[in-house]
Amino acid sequence: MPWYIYIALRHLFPKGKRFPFFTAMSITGVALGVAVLIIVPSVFNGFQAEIRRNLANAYGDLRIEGRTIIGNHRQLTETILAEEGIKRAVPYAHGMVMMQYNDRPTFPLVQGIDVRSDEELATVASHILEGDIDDFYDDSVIVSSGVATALRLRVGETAMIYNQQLLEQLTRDEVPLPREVEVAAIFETGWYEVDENTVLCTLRFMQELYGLGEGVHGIKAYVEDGYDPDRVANNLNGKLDINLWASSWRYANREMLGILEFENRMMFFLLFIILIVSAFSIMSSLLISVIRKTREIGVFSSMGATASQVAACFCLQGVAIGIVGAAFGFALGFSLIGVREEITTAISNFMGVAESMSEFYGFAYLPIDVQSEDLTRIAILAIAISTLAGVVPALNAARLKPVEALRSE
Amino acid sequence: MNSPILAGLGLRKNFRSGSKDIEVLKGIDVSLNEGEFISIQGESGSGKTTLLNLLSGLETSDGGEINWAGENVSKFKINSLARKRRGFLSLVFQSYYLVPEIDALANVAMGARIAGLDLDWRSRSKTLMERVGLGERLHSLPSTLSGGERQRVAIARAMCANPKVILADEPTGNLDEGTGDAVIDLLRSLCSEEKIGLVLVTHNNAHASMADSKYHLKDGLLHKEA
Ligand SMILES: Nc1ncnc2c1ncn2[C@@H]1O[C@H](COP(=O)(O)OP(=O)(O)OP(=O)(O)O)[C@@H](O)[C@H]1O
Ligand SMILES: [Mg+2]
Repeated sequence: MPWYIYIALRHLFPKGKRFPFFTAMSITGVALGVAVLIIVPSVFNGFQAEIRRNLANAYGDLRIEGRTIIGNHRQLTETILAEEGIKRAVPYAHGMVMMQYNDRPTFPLVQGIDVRSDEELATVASHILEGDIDDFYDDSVIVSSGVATALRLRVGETAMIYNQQLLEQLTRDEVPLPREVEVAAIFETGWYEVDENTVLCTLRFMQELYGLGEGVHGIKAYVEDGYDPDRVANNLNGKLDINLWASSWRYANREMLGILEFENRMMFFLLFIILIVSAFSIMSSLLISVIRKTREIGVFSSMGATASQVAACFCLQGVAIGIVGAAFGFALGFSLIGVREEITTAISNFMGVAESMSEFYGFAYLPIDVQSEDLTRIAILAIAISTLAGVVPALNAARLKPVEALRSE
Repeated sequence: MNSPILAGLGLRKNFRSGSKDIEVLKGIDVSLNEGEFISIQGESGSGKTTLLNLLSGLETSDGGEINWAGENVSKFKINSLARKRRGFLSLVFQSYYLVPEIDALANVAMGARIAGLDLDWRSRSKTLMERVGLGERLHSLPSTLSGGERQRVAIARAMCANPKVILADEPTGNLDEGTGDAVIDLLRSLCSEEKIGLVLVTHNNAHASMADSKYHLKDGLLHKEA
């Protein structure tokens, strides 16, 4: 090992000293910065991945909609299915109704599910909390947990549904006859926006409720693995009737996704400042070290050390702090990620905010998404910044004239 | 007679003090043959350290010529002088200047490691520690050694670079008389065994008188004493 590497390491970790204070502080600074840079973006990415997944789930990979109600949806579905990359396509209809139970009203969004599609039913079934998907037929509904709570509805009970026309009758002082529906099941997806206020019914019931006849509001389509929904939507648009258009979930949610992306970049940049702060602390402790070791540096020169070797000795201390700090930061970051459930539970117990967490973010747990490119970027940044922090002290050390260094008191 | 290993010819050095120049060295001629031992005495402030700094190339002269093994090095830059010092010239200081973070043995090894000698610095530094009588203290930190022991380590470090010349600036200045005598004995015997030229700056008359030639620095000029 060249002597200047050896001395650099010994300056940082002197022999016979268990806890080198300055080194520990510098390393801690980098480690904390790195840990924060690992944890916070991972949590953010986790949330965002969850948001994206929910957006995609709710929307379907792409949707084909028209200017008006789509009457010939069977034929249209065939056309869509014939498109390369399309895995399946199902018609849908949606709208808002008033639902009433024991004089309590609510205004949920109703989605008509095509019960002939096993995949659609399987998706619904996977979120069922209570009840049975097999009881789902034309005069029954599946309500979200939010609706069930609001109306104090239980599986097997019967609620009233008023559609638009019935409500209009109400305003003309006529007595409307609502539709009676039985609650077949209660579901929860974990996504607040859906769980709060959704009722699922069969597509046929929905068509009846809205007087659509055989028509639907659109077709949801799903692409096969490896196909890009945007591409497929584009190709479809080239073939569809002028009054119909396909849009991917990404296109439909482009503003939201753009905000998420921007948020990500800003956050990384802001957190990066922590590393810069720690770089200043490294720089100042190394500068102090250069001053303390001025005569030592003079002796090295007198023994034949060149200015660049002296510079390397101090610059390498920055590198070493960066490497060790990054390693500790990774360890700390991943351990904290490992016990995140315990931490969030502790925090929400302490502040009593468990409820608001699912309310604001739409998830009851802390999703995490660690991206490997981020990790490489963080490691490189931490080491590069610590190295830069070593450059100024290194130049100071290299500039010392041997005689002056030796004469210094 | 063969040419001297180290020589200074007409060395001059001025320092600025406030607005006026003080002439510290006014034309010094000095030469050291291989394995020779010379001593330099002089009052405090007479310029002894300054002379050693010029001879070792740590400081540039304002006139005159310095020869290392017959080569004029007066015009060399700091970094090339540093490289040239490796394996040629070692210094011993009054205040030892050991590296506090590493043990005695590692301090000795620094001499060879910085000099970049291709020899086995591990065994060499160990042998030297034994030769300066510290074979039992290899892994002691400098802070746990006495002044005399530290100076022995510093001498071993100087020797470890395998030099042709050692310049020692008041190496016993911080030591009591008995310890100082032992250190000088050690330095002398090591240098004569290895044929290393030794320039000793000292305030101690007895030590100065052991030299082959004895010099006195006064008013910027070097006088040889009988
Ligand atoms: N860098 C400098 N700038 C200004 N004056 C200096 C400088 N270095 C040395 N001097 C002056 O040069 C003179 C000689 O100094 P030097 O250190 O060589 O003396 P010395 O003989 O070694 O003294 P001592 O026995 O006390 O060590 C002194 O007057 C000192 O003040
Ligand atoms: Mg002096």
